[in-house]
Amino acid sequence: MPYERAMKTGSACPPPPGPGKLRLYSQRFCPYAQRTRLFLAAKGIEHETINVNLKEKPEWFFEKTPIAKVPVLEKDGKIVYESLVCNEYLDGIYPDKCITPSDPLEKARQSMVLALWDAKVVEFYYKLVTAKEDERPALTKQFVDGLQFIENALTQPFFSGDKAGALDYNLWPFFERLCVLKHVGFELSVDQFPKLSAWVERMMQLPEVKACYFPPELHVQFGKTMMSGSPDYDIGLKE
Amino acid sequence: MANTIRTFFATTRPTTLQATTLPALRRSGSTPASTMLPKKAFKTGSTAPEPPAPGVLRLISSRFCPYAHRTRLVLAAKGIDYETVNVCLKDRPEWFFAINPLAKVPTLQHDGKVVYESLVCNEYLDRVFPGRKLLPEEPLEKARIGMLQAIWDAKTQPNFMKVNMSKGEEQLKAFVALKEGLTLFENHLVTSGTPFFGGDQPGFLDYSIWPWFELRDLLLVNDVVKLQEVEFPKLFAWLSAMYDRPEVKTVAFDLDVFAKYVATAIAGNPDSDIGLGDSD
Repeated sequence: MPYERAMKTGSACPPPPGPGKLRLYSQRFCPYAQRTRLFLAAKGIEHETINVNLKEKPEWFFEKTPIAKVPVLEKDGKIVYESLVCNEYLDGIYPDKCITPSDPLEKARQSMVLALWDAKVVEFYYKLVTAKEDERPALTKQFVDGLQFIENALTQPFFSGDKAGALDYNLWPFFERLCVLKHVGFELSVDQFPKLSAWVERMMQLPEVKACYFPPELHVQFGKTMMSGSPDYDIGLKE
Repeated sequence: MANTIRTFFATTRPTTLQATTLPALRRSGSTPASTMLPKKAFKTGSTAPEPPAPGVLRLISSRFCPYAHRTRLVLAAKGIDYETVNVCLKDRPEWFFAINPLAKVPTLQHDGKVVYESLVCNEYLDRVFPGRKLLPEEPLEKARIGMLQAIWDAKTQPNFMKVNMSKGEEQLKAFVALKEGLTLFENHLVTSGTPFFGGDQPGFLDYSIWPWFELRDLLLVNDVVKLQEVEFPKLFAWLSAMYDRPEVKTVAFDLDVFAKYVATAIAGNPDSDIGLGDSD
């Protein structure tokens, strides 16, 4: 596939997608782009993907989105960016198999869990990946304390109820990457996080999750290239 | 003004219990619940107020928080009745964490339901209460609001704060970045040809960004960082149009009191009750 390799600075702007065709601008290892890839897979939406080098961004990418981040959707001249905005937009233009909750309180509840995730977990996740040995115990405690809020929010088999829904797909990418914390001593323990552990097992059975999945080794490998300062967005692609 | 915004958004967790007595409340069967709630902020060590009565919407708020202001605007725009409980954001009451683990304002309580995060509150109110719809239904229109909100969060609002908190070269750089962020909003109004981001009337995005514009004279204090109408004609017309709106007037900040609040914050002891009388 010609566009699987990440397009970078100096590259020519790809021609727009054909009429009626949906295009996703993505990056193979980006958890936010994976949220949208999960929605696309769950909804069975045909689309083409162009990967973008987020360290050496192509100039044309800034024309598509002033924030120059992935995911970005493009269809018939219309552009949508921001993972959660993209996901709701997909439900809007492909109303079959709607994933975004229709009940206002349930939608609010899911947004609040994401807010808890952002406030209590994400910051420590990133800090823990790059933490020095002496910083790890304190950061791990903060991360674990934060994760407890998410464990507590899981009261049914999935965050969204009996079946996976928006919140499950919006959280999943970060859980797929928990393996990168193994080297700093964190693993999702079934004793400490029984519900989250069971949820992870359930999610891994879902075809849409499998379709977007990268194994731990690949995430760890990519992570190392990120830490080195030269992210290799094409890692794992066959020559 | 340097430390203003830092202290004003202080997120200090309560660490010591301070005995705080509630002001004496009139108790009368015929008195509506809202008059029994003080305007003074509940602090660490305070007793939790009784939950709101059935059917009563309560807003947990702070008089000087722009995020809470977003929700006050929507409540006013939709003509929704509600009562307010103010909390001190520097010395948060412990009971607040039981309602909202983030202990942030705005937080809504309604028949046992709790909603927090300003834009989540606003969307909830818009969908659950009758009246003018503030969020568009059409998917692309709704997405545009989300994208502009993302630009606001990434490029605009942080630079309002940076301009306020910095000096000299750094301040000028932040001001240039702020203007770049504002240009995207100006361009949207040019393209849409409407007075408001919501169209002929203000909508979700107008109320979301308004609080920082209402506070702009307190945020952009130097003459060199004043926004010029000639550079942003549509935004200036929007400012005028927003000031004319009844809902904006109803909940408007008292800028003199706000300035006094800011002064107490700079001094290191933000007084969330400033400007209130003894019986408040």
